[in-house]
Amino acid sequence: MSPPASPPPCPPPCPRVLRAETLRVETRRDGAAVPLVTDATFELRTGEVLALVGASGSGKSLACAALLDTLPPGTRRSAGRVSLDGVAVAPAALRGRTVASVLQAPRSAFNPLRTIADHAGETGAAAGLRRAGARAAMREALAAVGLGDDPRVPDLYPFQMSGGMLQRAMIALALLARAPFLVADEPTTDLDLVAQARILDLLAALVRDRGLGLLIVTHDMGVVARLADRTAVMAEGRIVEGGDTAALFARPDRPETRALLAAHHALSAEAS
Amino acid sequence: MTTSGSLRAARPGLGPLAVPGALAVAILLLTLLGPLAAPHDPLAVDLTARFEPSSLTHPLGTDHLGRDILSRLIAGARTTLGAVAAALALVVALGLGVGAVAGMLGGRTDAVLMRLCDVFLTVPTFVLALFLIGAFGTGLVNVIAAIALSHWAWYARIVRGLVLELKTRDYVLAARIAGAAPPTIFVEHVLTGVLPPLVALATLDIGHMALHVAGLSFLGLGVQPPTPEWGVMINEARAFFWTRPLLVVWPGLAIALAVLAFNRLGDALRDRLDPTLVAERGL
Repeated sequence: MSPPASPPPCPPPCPRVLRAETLRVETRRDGAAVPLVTDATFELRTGEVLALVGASGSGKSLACAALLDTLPPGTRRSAGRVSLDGVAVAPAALRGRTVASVLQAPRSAFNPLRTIADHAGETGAAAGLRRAGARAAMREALAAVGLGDDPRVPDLYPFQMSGGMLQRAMIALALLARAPFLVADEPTTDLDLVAQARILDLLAALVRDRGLGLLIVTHDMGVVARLADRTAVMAEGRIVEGGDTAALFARPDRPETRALLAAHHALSAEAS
Repeated sequence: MTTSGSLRAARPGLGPLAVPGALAVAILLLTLLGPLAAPHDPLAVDLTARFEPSSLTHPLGTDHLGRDILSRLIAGARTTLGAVAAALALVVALGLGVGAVAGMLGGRTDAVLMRLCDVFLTVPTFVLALFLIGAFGTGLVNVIAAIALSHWAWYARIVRGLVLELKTRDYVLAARIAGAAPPTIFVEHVLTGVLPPLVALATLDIGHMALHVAGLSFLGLGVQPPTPEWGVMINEARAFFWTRPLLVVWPGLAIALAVLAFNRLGDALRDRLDPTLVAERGL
């Protein structure tokens, strides 16, 4: 945990803080470096939801990948630092134990040849859980995401489950390690509306009950309005506007934010 | 939602595996039992009983030295298929090792290993095997080594291709994000995807390699007489082909049956084990 030399400056329960500073992601095109994310700075606290929003291609997912150093081939992080409770950390060391992740497409995020229990065993081993402990932790995590009623779930293969069940299972895997932070990259994009609503409720409940710090990447302002305490808007690889979600919805400063909100209002007006 | 009924349906019976599987199992059993299953000593010469026709004592008759043909076929299965098994084990080990290293590491390592593969791939396998035997000398061990060296590059290429594709899967990324160590990721997610098609391919190649072993032995480069081996038997029977054609037919039939059985088994295994097919059909 934190170094014993300096006691935490805040009273318990002290929120833990994951901070990304001036992240820069580049790719190379014709020998020249092309920036994809520039100067991305954001801060995530336990018990709080931060939404990273923006149009497709604005660099939201890359900024998240840079946080854990899981950038796709051909891109690299060329600047910036990540710190946990004020101490600089290697991004790779955060994976699993400190920051758990939920990916966009649940169907492809599971190996079709391995059961849910196999996946849980792997995630548990990565988080340092022993075999027996992993089994118990898996049951508990599955119960937490609403998959605890059916005793067969651990032995199911991914193709025997629906998209919503798989996304729940992925969130359960993310809970296994009891990481204080959770990064969810468009966790509801591949799901139908009912499943979306349930997953969002689940995420909100986890933040409330377990004090998770949730970083949610989305282009859906409806999701933002529903979940996020704070919001950062990205456009062309930069964070162009950020702050309290209610304030942002009330007084959007930037055209990009207004465009996202306009799209959201147009869609929700159509729907109702 | 999945019910227990549909769960059971998701695990079908052997299906198309049944017939070639049974035949291959029978051949493998004979191979393992070898001389124990043979009615006579495959090496026992009896010059008073040369070229005997089929009878109860000698179901397939005897050859030019009075040796029981059935016994020699059964004992020969062990020689031929034993050599195939050894060669395949070498090929798979080499191919899997080189292919996995090239695919996982990429970059310069990949380039060097793949150019090495290209060198081996430019020469037809049988010619390469002949060349290697010319260099090493004749004998069963050299035949096995020659077959392994002339085939591993194919396997390395295929394994590399599979690894490259599997590496980009979301579940590999998910495992990486969950903090799993690279060796764990390789074993859990890459190897599980590579092995099924590799097993199917190796099974398909059993017949092909049996032909290599028998062919090289037929040419007098592999197993030496009097050791029973199918290719050697055909070679020995060649001199009597016009008067006693059955002497050629029996080992030829054994080779043909073995090749056919393992080819069908390989086909069926590929249909069953290919992960893309499995995922598509939800088997």
